[in-house]
Amino acid sequence: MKLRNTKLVWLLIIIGIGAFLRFYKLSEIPSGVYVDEAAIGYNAYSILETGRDEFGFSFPVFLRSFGAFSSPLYVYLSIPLIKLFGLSEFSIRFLSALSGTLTIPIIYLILQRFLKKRSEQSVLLGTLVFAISPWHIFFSRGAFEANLGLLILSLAILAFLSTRRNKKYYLIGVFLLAISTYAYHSLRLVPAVFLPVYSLFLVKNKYISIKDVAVAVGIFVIVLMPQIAIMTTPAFSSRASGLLYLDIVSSQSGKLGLLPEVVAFPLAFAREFFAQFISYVNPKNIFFLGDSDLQRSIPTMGLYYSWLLPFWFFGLRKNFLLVLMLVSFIVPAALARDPFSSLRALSLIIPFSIMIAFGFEYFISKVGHKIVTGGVILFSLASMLFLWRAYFVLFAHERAAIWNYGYSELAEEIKSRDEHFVIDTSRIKPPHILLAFYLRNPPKDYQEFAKTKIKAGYYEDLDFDTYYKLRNFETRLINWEEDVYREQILVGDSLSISSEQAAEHFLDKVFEIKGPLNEIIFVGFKTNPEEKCKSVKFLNKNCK
Amino acid sequence: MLVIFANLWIWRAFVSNFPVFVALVMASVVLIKAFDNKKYIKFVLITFGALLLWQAIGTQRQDLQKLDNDQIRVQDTRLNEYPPINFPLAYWLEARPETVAFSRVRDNFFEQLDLNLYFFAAHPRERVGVDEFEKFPYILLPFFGVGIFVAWQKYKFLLVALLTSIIAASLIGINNHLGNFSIFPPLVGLVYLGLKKTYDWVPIKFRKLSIIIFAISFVLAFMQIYLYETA
Repeated sequence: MKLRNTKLVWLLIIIGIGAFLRFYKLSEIPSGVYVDEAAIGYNAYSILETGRDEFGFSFPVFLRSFGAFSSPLYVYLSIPLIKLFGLSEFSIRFLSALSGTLTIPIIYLILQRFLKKRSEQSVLLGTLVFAISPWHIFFSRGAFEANLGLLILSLAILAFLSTRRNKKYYLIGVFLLAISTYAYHSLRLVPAVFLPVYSLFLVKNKYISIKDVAVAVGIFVIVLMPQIAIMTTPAFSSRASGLLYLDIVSSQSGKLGLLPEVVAFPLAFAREFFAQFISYVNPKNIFFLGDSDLQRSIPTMGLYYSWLLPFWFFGLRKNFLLVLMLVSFIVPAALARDPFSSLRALSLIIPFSIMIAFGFEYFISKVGHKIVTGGVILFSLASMLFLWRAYFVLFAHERAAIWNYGYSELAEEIKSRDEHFVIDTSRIKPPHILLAFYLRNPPKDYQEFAKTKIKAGYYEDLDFDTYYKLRNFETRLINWEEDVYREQILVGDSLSISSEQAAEHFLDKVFEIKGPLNEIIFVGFKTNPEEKCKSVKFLNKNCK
Repeated sequence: MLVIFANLWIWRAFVSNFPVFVALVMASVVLIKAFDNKKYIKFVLITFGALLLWQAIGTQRQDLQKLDNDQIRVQDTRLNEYPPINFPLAYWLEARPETVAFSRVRDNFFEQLDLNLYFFAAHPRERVGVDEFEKFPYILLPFFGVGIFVAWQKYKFLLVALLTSIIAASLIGINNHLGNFSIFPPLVGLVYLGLKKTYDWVPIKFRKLSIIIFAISFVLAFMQIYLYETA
């Protein structure tokens, strides 16, 4: 009883540490809001206010923001949070931070099932490492649908692990796996690889019967019905086809001119796929480099702390479910063109946590639990210092511009002035959704404009353009032939409007928004049509 | 012989530095011999030690503490990112010579652990300004994996050699046009062990067929990397 209480206290301490690392300064770091976060928040706000998304569509199966057709569960679950906290950085990230915190005890239970109570220290240490892992903390602190997906997937795995005790858990697992496909698009591929193989394994070992599999298929199909209904539309396959690297494979197979196409193409595909696959178990990527995308990585830090490498390495076991998870969670990521996407492969954190816990168990059996436990706690404390340095200091400053720092200030400028604004979109990511988010643009007005962009149908039309006209601003490229002859404010980044252009067109700098590293994020120039017209020797059609 | 000679790395050595080529072949042959006959272990020590020495002499030493202009700029920027506190924590974490040296060694160490570097010419994360080439045909990668398990069970000296080469390269740097070539014999040894173990696993009646399939796949994969390299 006493031992059980001690374990519980340690688990609560670990959850507490994990919650702190996920919620501390949540609205301030990341410094800014990424476009996908803004789209999630604004769509939830729009549904809350009007019952329709940004395009005026009622409860879509996939959200068409930027033509991406992302999974909707995060948006729908964020609605009550936005009602409670208002539309803000905190309210849109809250669900992810909460999912991340709730995943900690689930991982504890999964580790307990895998290690079968042989080594409670290894289970607790494995949970601690998960709670403080830079990989999971990073994705818990942004509105990432994948993090919600991870929570549901962990619950599904936990249910599958309990199938041996009661086969109803198999059906719960299948149900959760089906639900996870609404949380994150990469998880749509996981059941296709995981479920048939694992079901076969369970049938073969007589944990479930063929009848149970049939019921499970029924549950799976029913839950997926809304997706099946739009399966034939371009929206269903657009995401997958956009990410798959068939064009790269095609160009690579062109280099194999000596071989017939029927051999060259599969060969080129095999190399591409295996190179991608191996990159997800490559220690350099996992323990050192991290993600290749600056928006999804922490400076100087990998997905895990480097000192965990030996535990991870010695933790690989010939365990059927472990290997199946590794393969089925890597395959969807390895089919996508991004080199080593820690977001698409987030599910891998489950088998990796199991491997690390097995590694702890291995080292405990070799050198004793006091040395390993003491060492891991010591290294974890040191890692906290490095996490603070990398995330709360370096990331907060160096990645601020990538995370769209400055839009809040720009929104304030737009709100405080009566003039019309033109926001240049030549290098700036879709700014309309960020401004709509910060300005809490009335969803009805937004929908009125956005609706005009859909010509063929919500799920049919894949086109996306950045032209938006809302309130007193437009987002588009600056038209130098006409814009300088109208009273308005032109906004761009440091390269959009040069000092020569400002002088030539009599533009007056009215504001400058700088990032935490003192770099220019936005510059606003007020036009001067009167002076401009005086300067043109010939009669310009824009001058009266 | 297939593992030693059917890769681009050894032929690069042959073209650019013949003595290194000879040393690599000798060290690899001696290593493979040592799996069956322990008296070869001392020759492994001699050839591998010589190779490490050669690597150390032939590599342009990396100063573990000296920073170039861009690195100084990054360091200065980072020192200013820290909140003001009455403790030189920013200096400790960013600018202490030991910190700089540690991060260099860490960079070099993980560079050596890049599986994609050895089997996929660093694809899909090719490095800027580096002439990447597929050191071993990727078809050998699964055998390399099996080889690690076999070596862990029976031939730990091979893993010691692998680790020694990695640690040495982490300390002296990898500024050498052939890369960390002292790692070549342990890698060859691991692939060899993996091939041998896999062959033993295959039931006797399927052995001929499996050799044919492997040979065809190997030739195709080798042609592929050669054609990619020369395209």
